[in-house]
Amino acid sequence: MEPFEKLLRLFDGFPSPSETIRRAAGLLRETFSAEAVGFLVYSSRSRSLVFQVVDGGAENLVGTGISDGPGVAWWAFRHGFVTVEDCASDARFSGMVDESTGFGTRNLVALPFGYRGKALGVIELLNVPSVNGEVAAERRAALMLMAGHIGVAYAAANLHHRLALQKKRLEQANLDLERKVDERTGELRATLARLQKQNELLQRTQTQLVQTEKMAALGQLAAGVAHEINNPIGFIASNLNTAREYLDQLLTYANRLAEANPATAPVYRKKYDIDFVESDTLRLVDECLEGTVRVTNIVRNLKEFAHQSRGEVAAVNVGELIDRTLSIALSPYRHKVDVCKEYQAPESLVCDAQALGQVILNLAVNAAQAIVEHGVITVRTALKNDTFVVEVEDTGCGIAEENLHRIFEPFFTTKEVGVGTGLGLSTCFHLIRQAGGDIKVRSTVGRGTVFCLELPRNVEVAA
Amino acid sequence: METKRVLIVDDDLLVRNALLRCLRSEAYEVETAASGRAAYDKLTSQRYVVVISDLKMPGIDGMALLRWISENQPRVGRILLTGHADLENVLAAINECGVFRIVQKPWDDAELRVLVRAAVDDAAIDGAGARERA
Repeated sequence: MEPFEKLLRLFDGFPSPSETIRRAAGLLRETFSAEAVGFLVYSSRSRSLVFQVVDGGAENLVGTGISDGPGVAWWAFRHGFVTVEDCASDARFSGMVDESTGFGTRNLVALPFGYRGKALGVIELLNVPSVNGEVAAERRAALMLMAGHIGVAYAAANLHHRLALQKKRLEQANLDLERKVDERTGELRATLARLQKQNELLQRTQTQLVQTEKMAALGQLAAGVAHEINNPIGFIASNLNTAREYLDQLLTYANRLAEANPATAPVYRKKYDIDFVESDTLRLVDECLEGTVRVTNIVRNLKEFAHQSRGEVAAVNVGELIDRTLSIALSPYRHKVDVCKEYQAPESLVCDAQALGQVILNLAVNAAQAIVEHGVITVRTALKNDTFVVEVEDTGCGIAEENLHRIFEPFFTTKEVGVGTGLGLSTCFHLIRQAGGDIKVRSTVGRGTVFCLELPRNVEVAA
Repeated sequence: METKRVLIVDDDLLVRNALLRCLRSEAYEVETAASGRAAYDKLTSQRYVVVISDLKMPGIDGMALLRWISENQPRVGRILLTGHADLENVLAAINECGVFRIVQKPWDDAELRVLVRAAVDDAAIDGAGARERA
């Protein structure tokens, strides 16, 4: 193969710059039968010509730099092709390199290689066979041509290398960027989620706060109103009782008079409709008294509803509390209600016993009132995760779908007038919320209702 | 035998009237006072066996009046009649004023009559004992 062809093939596959000149050095040595070929590359950083490749000579020279000076390499770098026919007698040759390597340079050809007129380095061919005392003179043109080609190849390799490096850097930067974007996106998402959660909590706290304040205000109002109402109700009820006695006396008196005047009495009796008045008067008074009882109940329930729990929290035996409450609440309904108890939770819960008792009482009475003829009330306790659950289930009439969302509203009731004040469940709701818990309801009309209390398990109160 | 007198103290005329009617036919005389101050004046000039007092009144309130009685006329039976019986008031009435009974408004007439009768009897026995010791 022709050397030029070989030269062209040498740079197949984009070798690195150092590999490019390593191959070039081997080819030059072979082509020109030199004992050794060295490539020196100009380093702008150290301002020196640095041995990059040494083929056939002392490999340990690689990396050694020659500073700017009077030597052959620098002369060639600056001026171009140079031949040293006999190193021993030529002043341009410095023996310094040979001294360090032990190589014996007899003759030397040096020429620059480069690209677009800019020298990149120097090629040195050592101990080239001489013909008629002239070293490689006839091959000068070929050598320069090849050096030109090597220069282009080296520059191209350098460029390719730099581009590859930049590409790699870009790719890495891209990857880094993507990773950073991912990280940032993740962080942002987490922050967003955290903020949303905090916002939710804040809103809930605010709602609770407003609710609590409303309750406190209502509590004061209720206490004041209760006092004001109890006074008039007190004398109205008392006076009605007295009036009842008075009427009784008057009627007795009238009857006595009638007995004494049998002739005229029936006339007046008829004229003043006394038959009816006599039969209706006491009933009228009794109905008024019944009214005062209702008002009394409303006032009492209103006070209970707005009752500021004293918050006396202590470890409570829930089973006992439920038993006690049920026996009070359900005694009037004993004939129609069977009670089923399923206590699965541990007995002790730290809570406000009075509040919990009141809630269970209300739920039990509601359950009993929902049962029309005969039914079962089931009370369950269970521990779910860290929540203490109390369920009160009845087999009663159930709650209509359209009423389910209103049952915790104050004054909402479907009970007959005088039976319910509409404050029982709203009181329950308020008390359970105050304890940090929740109250839920499931109901099917005609089948029954389940009320579910979810209470937080507070930390044990120190004894 | 000395006439037994019961004093009703309430700032509400209609409450006083209703109580007067309720206790009219009992075996003791009933008088009324419209304020703590008026009650104090009556108590310092006349002997009563039982005082039935409201709690919330302008000026000298029921608690102050009952406390004064427990300290100065301990043999007078004390009944608190109130529409505002929270735990705090109840405890103070029992511990500080040594009340005989606490009755909530609205009251039950029959129950009130029985209570006042018992308080009057207690005071009478107490009073008789005290006279014997004297």
